[in-house]
Parts: sequence; C-alpha cells; structure tokens
Amino acid sequence: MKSRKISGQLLSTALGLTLALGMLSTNTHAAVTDKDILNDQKTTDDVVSYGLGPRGQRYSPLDTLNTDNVKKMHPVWAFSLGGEKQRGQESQPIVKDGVMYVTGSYSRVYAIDVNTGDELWQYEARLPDGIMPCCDVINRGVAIYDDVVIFGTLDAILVALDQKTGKVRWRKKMGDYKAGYSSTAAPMIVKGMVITGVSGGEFGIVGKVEARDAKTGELIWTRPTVEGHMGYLNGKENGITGGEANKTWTGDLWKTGGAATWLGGTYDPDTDLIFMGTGNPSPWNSHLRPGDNLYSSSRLAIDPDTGKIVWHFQTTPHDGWDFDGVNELIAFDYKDGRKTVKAAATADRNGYFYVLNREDGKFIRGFPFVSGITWAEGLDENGRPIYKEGGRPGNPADSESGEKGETIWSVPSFLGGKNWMPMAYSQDTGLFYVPSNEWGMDIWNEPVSYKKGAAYLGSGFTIKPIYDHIGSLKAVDPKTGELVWEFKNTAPLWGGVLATAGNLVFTGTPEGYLYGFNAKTGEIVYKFNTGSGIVGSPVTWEKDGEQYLSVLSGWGGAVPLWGGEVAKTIKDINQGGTVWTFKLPRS
Amino acid sequence: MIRRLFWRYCLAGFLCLLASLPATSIARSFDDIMESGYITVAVYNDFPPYSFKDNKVPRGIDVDVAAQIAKNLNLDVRWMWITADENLEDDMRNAIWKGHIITRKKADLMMRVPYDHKFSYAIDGYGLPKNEMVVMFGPYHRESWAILKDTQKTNNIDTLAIFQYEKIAVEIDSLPSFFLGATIGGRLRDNIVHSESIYKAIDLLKDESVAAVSGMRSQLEWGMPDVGSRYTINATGLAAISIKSWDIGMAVQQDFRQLAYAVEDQITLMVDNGQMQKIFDNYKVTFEPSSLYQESH
Repeated sequence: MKSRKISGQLLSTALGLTLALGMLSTNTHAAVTDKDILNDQKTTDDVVSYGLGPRGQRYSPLDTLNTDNVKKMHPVWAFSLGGEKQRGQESQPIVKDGVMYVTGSYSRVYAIDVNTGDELWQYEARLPDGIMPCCDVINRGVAIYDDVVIFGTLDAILVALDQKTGKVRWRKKMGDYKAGYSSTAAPMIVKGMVITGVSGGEFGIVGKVEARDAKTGELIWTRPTVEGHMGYLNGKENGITGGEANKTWTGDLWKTGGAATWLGGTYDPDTDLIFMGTGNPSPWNSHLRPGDNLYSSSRLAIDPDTGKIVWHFQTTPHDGWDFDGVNELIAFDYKDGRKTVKAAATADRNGYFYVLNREDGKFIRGFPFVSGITWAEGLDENGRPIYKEGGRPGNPADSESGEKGETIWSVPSFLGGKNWMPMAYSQDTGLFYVPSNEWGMDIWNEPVSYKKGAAYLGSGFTIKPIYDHIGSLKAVDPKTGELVWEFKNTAPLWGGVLATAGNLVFTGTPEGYLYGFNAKTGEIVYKFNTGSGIVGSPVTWEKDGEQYLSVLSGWGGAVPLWGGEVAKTIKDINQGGTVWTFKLPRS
Repeated sequence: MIRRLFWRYCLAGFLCLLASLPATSIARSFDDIMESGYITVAVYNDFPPYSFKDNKVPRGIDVDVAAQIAKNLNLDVRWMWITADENLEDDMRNAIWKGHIITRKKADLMMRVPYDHKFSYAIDGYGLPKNEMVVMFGPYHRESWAILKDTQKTNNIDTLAIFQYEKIAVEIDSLPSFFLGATIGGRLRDNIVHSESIYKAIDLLKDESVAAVSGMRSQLEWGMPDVGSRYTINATGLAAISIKSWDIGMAVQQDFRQLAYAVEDQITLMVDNGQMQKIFDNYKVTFEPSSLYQESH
C-alpha cells in the first residue's frame, strides 16, 4: 500500500521559518548536484550522501560539539516510524534544506521537517507476498540527486520519489524478486549516475553493479561480478568479467556464482574509481567449487565511465565460511615519511583489516582486528590468507553415515569480525573506528536436513561469544595495526560509526544507547538511552550555528534471527522505530 | 509442555519476540476452524506435480490431498501459496508458526513436510529441541531420489562412471548436486550441469544436451511421463547418497494437535479406500506409500 502525505501548511511554515532565520543554505529545495555530493564532507549544513561524502569516511569537520560540552547534548525531537512494522532500522538519515529523508524497515521512506520533527510525506512500497528477503526486512537509506530521492526496495525495485511530494517519478527493476533478487543498501550517486548493487547471493543469482541515469533511471552500464558473465555499456557488449569463463571455478557453477553486491559501495573522486564489495560464492558448500571463485568475497575498483573492472582484491579466495567481502572500502591518505600514500582500508568479515593502494589495489598491509582467528594463520606478502589446516568446514557429502559430522570451531563466526555496519575514519586522529564483534561458531555437517520437500545436506552451527562481551568498538591505526583503544559491549555491535573534528566518535548499541567517545582515548563522554536497539548510522550537521546529531533507533537486522548464547545478550531489547535528533541547548 | 519449552527458550532469549506478535497471528484452534467452515492450507508455489496453478486453478498431488481432507471434514479450503526459503525450518516458521515475513499471515496446515523422527526430535547445538514450535505428522507419500537417463546417450551403462564422459543435469543446491559433485573423488564435477529448476534440467535432456537428470522421482515422472524404451527412471548409481528416500507428511503448529489427529484419520482413510492411489494416478506419478503404511498394509 502506498501512502503519501504532504502537509503543505507545515512545509510552508518551515520554509518561512527558514527564510526568517536566514539559514546558511542560499535557497530552499535547491537541486542536489554532483558538486554537492563531492563536497558533502566539507559542507556541514547538509548530509547528501551515505557515508558523509562519497569516500564514506563518516567524518565531519564540525567541532561545535566537543568532549567537554557533549554531555549537555539533548534530544530536540523524536520521530516514530509508526505502525506494527517496527524492526531493524539500519538507515542513515540524509539532510538537505531543512528536510530529513530516512528509510524504515519494510521499504518505507519518510521526509521529516528538521525544525519540528513533523512528517512531510511518507512512501510505502507495495511489496509482493512472494518475496523472501534474507536477514530481515531492513533498508539502509536513500540517495538524493537533483530533485528526487532514490531508494531500493525488498523486491529489488529502484524507486525515485519527488523530494517535495514523495510521489513516484520513476521505478526501475534491478532484478526479479522471484529469482531471489532484493535490495537493502543505500544507492550512491557518481557523476550523475545512480550506482547500485543487488542482494540475493544465497539463491544462486549472480551479483552485479549497475549505473543508471539518476534523473531518468535509464540503465547506462551493468557489470556482473562473477568471471565469465558479459557486461554491457549503453546496451552494447562491454567485455566479459574476468576475460573468460571458468578460470577460477569448477564445472558450470560460475553461471550461478553469487558474489552479490548487497551493501553498495563507495567512490573516490581522486582516482575516479567506484569501490564495490562482493559477497560469498554460491553454492555455500565450498567443496563443490575448487578454485578461487573470482570475483566473490572481493573488493572491485570500477571505472564509473565504462563499468570496467580496473583492479580487484580478493579477501577470501575459495570462501567456505560465508565471509562476504562486501564491507566498505574507505579511501584515505596518509604520510609515509614525506610521501603521501593514496590508500584505502576495509575491515573484512574474515577478521582481517586491509590497507590497499587504492590506485592499483596492491596490498600494503593487513592485520587481524578480532582475536582468535582460526581459519587462517595470517596473510602472505600479497595479502592472500594462509589457510590453516583443518580450518575449513567439512564436505557435507562425506557424512554418508547419516550421523552428525565433525564439529569445527571457527572464528570469526559467519556474521563476521565486522558485518555491514560502517566504520569511520577521523582525519584528525588518523584512526579507523571499527565496530567489530568477537564471536566464533561451532559448525558441522547436518545430515538430517530438508529443503522444499526434499532431503538435503545442510550445515549446522551455533554462534558463541569468546569473552563476556561480543561487541567491540576499536580505534585502529591503519599505519601500524596498533589497537589504540577499545570499547567493549555485551551485545554484538550492529550500527554505524561517526567521527567528528570535535574529537568525538559516536555509535549506538543494541542495548539502545547512543554513545559518544573521546576519539583519542576512548573515554565515554556521552550516553543516552534511545529506548530500542540502535542498528543505524549516526550523522551530524549544522543549522543556524548549532550542531545537530541524528540516529535511528529500532532493534532488528540479522542478529535477532540467530539464537543461542548470543541471544542471551539481547533478550531484553524491545522493538522500536524512532529517529532521534539531538543538539546542545543554546546557552 | 509447550509452555515450559517456550519459557525455557525465552530465558535463552531467542523466541521472546513471539510474545510480542499481534493477536491476529495467534493460531486457530480446531474448534475455531470447524466453526469458521474453512481451513487454510500452505502449499509450495509453482512446485509440480505437488502444488501449482494451472490457468489459475490450484492443482497437484498436495492440493488434491488437502482438498480431499477438507471435504471429508466438511470444510472449504483456502490456499496459502508459499515461496520456499533456505530450508524446511524456515518454511514452517513462515507458513505456520510465526507467519509470513511481510503479511504475518499463517496457515492452519502445511503440506509436503518431511516426516522423519530424527528431524522432528533434533536438538540444536545447545541441547534444546529445534522444532518444538510445530508438530509433524500424517505421512502420505514416500519420495526418493532417482536418475532419468537417455539410454541412447548412456549406452545402457547404468553406473555413474558414464558421467565422466556424458553430462548429467541437477537442480542447483540439491542433494544430487552435492552427491554427484563429491562422489568418485569429484571426477564428475565438470560434467554436472546445474539448472534453476528440475524441469529446466529435463528440458536439457529432451533437447539432448545432457544424458541424464537426477532429482526427485515424482518430478522426473511428471516431467517425462512417456519414458518409452529410450528413457529410464531408477535409483541405480545412487546407493551411496546419504538419504535415498524419505516420508512426506504435514505440519501444524505445536498447540494444534487436535487438528493433526483429525487430519491424520483422513489420511489413513484415503490410503485404505484407494483415494490416495487415485490422486497419484491422475498425475501419472507412482504412489509409494509412506513407511508407516508400508508396515501396516
């Protein structure tokens, strides 16, 4: 059901106020341009991209809020996403010209007056009965461009809405939901194009990256992420991914090879490259597909003009642990002596933190960011994992006796040393703030298993904590691998991080707390209970000389879907769906 | 007992969310069903010969079995068409105990649920029952793996060795895919063709691009009804597959046992009076009774 609402009166009141107060923005509802998006990190009066800038550093130069005054920060309004559909609010707000755009679970979008917290309009996608989204009904946010708001739905439709009214301007199908395609990531704008990935790797689809004209939705290029599939540019063949089929696969499995691009990507204007991560290969049983299985569990650098892969870096060749390689690759520069290194960093599901040369994808260094990794002994000089003997889950087909197979203790668990939740990079401290989880899994072959009326061989697993805590926010030095500070949290961390020039780092916890930390020391300088678990990503912006901070609260996502000992840490957390907005009181 | 288990899980935290489900998704009791005059039955979407739509008319073995049960109980049937998730546990959660992920709708009864004591009473990694939210009962069919072969291509060679030279198609992520990919030291891997569906695999056999298809016997029989002398359907070569055949029954929510007893009585009746045989005959599929009825008849 679509429900749209425009409150003209409220809108005009808001605009009137805005003009009267002489806000920094020169005009109201100015069309969002590529320049606005490229400068997002510098322009503190808006947030027009996922990640506060195309590189996704999640760093704001705002320093009004600092470690001394942040304790006085208090809520100015809270906005309920309403209804019975309160679960898994993983969205990052976008703020432009006095309006905030957020997505809610079940493919909903809201426009909110940032002065009052009033709803301006709401759009609810009509979802077909037959959709089967993996891992909860979440959405991570919108992209804005020109005068539209663009987001992806659980049934894999890319929808552009009029910024003022919430009315549909165009809709494009990214894949057939009946084949398993879905979409939950925030789209990205690069050079007037909207760049998207797809979810659904568990169902044997092939991942792809697509570029569409952001104004019309017309497809410009498509780049499959599995070796052997043809890419297209302006409707014409544009080269086979990886050159030819089956160099690193077995049999015909490349045809259904997974490598879903379900978390979207980042863009580095400096090298003019799109960085996109890919998910695990399909089928999950790695013993059926000997080989590296390119480009699964990889980071791809793609030329935005042609849709061609410029370089790739595979974090987990021949994955057998469900280590998606989708986590964000963040461009940053650092000094090595006098030389500026054009680097990019990522904290992988597999428990290793990688620093790459972002011009050519060459490995600079890597180190574990969680403890007790079992599947690899380390990384070699090219960053390729050195597999540990006995660290790979067994072949299900070996359990012919019908008995439970041998159990393997594997760290990290398949939910990863770090999952989807984006880390932040502070330009002041030079540190990455990584929302990680310390957990492992017992994994075994499950011979008594069924799938759609048929006997099957599944794998059984139980996720277990390693310490008394699971969540661990870590301040990591990318130049040395040094752990500068750590904040331990009982429940798994599942929300994004934000760093500011006020020497602050913010993140939320499933227990419902929005935390502020001293970026240098890790000291807790702010704590506020939002009433439900935080699995969204905070943003900060400025209005009338005051610094605001917003975050969604609403427990959900993949963690509550899995049981066992992890569940003990989250058993008292209630559902929710609220946008919280904070600022310092005027003195 | 269910209450005790429920709260034990609640202490472990996992299923507490259930407590917060809206009232509309509370299971209907047997009395509610009889009083309302209808029963909602979950069947898989697009899954011939078990359940599918033929010009919008529900058809299939499971559809006919459920319709006959409802008729015997003087009830109308309402269909809940479900899309298969990753495994049976997910399907039972979506169809009968927690409800559909979007609509929260549930069915009273779910068809084509394997009936296997090992599965029903399986425990998880913490020593707790895995499937305590449902009761699986009423086996009405015994399904098995088989290979459909084009004997002109296999040259009447009935061992798997021929697939070192000839192609064999399977449905992706199925047990035959796992088995054939691993057996004989993985030597068949390069000749396994993975299809999205078993019927696409059978189409490959029909256009002679593969020599054989491995899948569920009923589906192979439905997809190739007139085997003639050129084609064979049998389980030769699959002796080492981990589960060769399995019983198929139904499931209801755990606190629904009274409904399960009433439905199970109808199955026994239908097996005894030949209605079950007739339903399978209508689809030209071999009726293999479940092991329960094989023992008692």
